[in-house]
Amino acid sequence: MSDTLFANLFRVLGLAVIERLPNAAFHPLTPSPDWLSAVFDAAQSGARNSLGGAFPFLDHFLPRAEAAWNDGPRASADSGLFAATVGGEELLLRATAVTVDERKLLVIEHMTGDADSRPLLQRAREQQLEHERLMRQISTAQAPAAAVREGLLQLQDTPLAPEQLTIVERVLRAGDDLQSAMAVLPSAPHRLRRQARPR
Amino acid sequence: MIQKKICMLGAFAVGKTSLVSRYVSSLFSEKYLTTVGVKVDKKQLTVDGHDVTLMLWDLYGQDDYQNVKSSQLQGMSGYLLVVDGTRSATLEIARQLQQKASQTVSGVPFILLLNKVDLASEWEIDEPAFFKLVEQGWRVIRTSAKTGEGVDEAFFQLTRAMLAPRPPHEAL
Repeated sequence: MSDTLFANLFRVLGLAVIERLPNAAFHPLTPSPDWLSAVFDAAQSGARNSLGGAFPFLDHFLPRAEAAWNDGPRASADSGLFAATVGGEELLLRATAVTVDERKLLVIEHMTGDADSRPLLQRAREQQLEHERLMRQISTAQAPAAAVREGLLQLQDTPLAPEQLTIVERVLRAGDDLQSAMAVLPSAPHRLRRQARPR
Repeated sequence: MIQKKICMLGAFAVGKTSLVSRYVSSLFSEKYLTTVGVKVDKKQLTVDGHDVTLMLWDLYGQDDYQNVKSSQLQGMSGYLLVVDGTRSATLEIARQLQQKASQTVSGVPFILLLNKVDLASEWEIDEPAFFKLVEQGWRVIRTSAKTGEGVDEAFFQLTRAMLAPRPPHEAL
């Protein structure tokens, strides 16, 4: 396979492979994607390339990466997901430090498509907020509902015509049904959690 | 220039990102955009004659989907625990995160921010709960990312506490 093919493959996959040189500088091994080009374009024009300057999170990850590189080929370090704003757009990224053929590599992945869990989590949390709001409304309604039931029970103990007693009992049953329905609502978030859990 | 790492901790949708945005960019949006992963912003300020660069680590909200990892807390000089005053459950999550933070990095100062003070009429967290925290020695500041109330003060006070020499295992 040609170098061009690999370069295009990495670009399609949203991967940037950067080598950490012995002088602690970073050198891109793949064509820099748009979100990374500003860092290395600046370096080519004479400025010191600083990944940490462009991505402050990496400043704190690189010591862990150094430790992994120093631990040999079997060691690796995963940054976890981090967000960075490039050109006004917030990107979700993940960095991995590995050693291959004694070369210290930093692989940065741009999480896009299904790998970008933000839309899924956004929806899940919006639904959870909506559920919390609904539960607060139900909780607010429970106190007056209990007061109505208490009043009906007191009314039931007073002398009532049979037709009136029938009405009181019917309303009490409806109230009980309503309370039973409200009591099962708190299970909703568990269903949401199962649907929304990220991979 | 002194550099300090501050972590924003709290449940989801309590306003951590909005507080950072208000403090760093003087911006606020009503739209809720959940945070996934970590976002780091910088802010420079001068406290008691010291020039300080704050590295503000906006961590995703703690919930069933994402747990704050100890590795993300390491190296922090202080943290802000953010609670949504309109959602009492977020206070319990803040307590859990405070325990995790103190186990990971002991002796660093923190402040609890009772956020969304602009919605005080809808608050679920009442005065007794508030005073209980104060009695425990916690520093509490009421904030609103929407209006900006208390935001600058919170970061300033935390920075001042981070710069001050203090015995370990002591809350601010």
